[in-house]
Amino acid sequence: MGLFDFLKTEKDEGAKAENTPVMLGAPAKGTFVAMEQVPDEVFSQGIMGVCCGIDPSEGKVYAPADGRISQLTDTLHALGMEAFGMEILIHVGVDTVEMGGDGFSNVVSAGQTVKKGDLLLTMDLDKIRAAGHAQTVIMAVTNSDDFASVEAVAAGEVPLGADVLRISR
Amino acid sequence: MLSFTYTIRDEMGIHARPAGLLVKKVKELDSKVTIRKGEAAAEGARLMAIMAMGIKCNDEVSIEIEGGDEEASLAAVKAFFEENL
Repeated sequence: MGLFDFLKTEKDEGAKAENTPVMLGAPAKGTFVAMEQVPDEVFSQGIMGVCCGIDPSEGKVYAPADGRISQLTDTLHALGMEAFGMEILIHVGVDTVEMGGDGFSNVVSAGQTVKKGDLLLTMDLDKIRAAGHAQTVIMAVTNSDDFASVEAVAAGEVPLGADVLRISR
Repeated sequence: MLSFTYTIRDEMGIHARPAGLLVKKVKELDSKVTIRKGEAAAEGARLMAIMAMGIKCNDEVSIEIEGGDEEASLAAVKAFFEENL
């Protein structure tokens, strides 16, 4: 046994952990929407990175994984998160930037560490509907190019926190 | 390296949609593109980094193009800003 074997073991375990797929949970309760069906072509065509949607049954968005809030937006309807090397954009609704924050409220602040399932923001679904926008909660891995694969693993009704995307390095 | 400055005219600034479209355009080019606003800078291929700059209407940004066919890349990025932002 060499002097530095303990380092080797740690490194091997680290490598193993890196190769284990990471799961992202549903950011909202509701019905799963496959990327191709997200009603906004910058998302459905994968321009924002691999994504999926949840047609929400309540006006609450939760953390899909343990991570850190990297940014909020002035219009409150979108936020960025970092988790396991992923840059995650959570975007509530389509063209909701036009609402200028009305009906949206952020519960977290930029830089804050969050746990999977923590409440991140709330939105008034009736206001979004009244403004004529789709309510889909869209979750995109904007740096999905950095990963071997990002694939959907859900369908139909999803309870909060159910795995929806599997990311492999 | 080539560069140009541009003042944002879109009243929503560079939010998610235009940032995504910009990244798509930049990824088609063989040059490295950097967007600067004051002290802040973001690589043109990184969506969240661009969004984090919070670029608003009337903000002046400078765009740097480095490597590859710089003139063609500059023309493409400039056209993108003029058409979309």
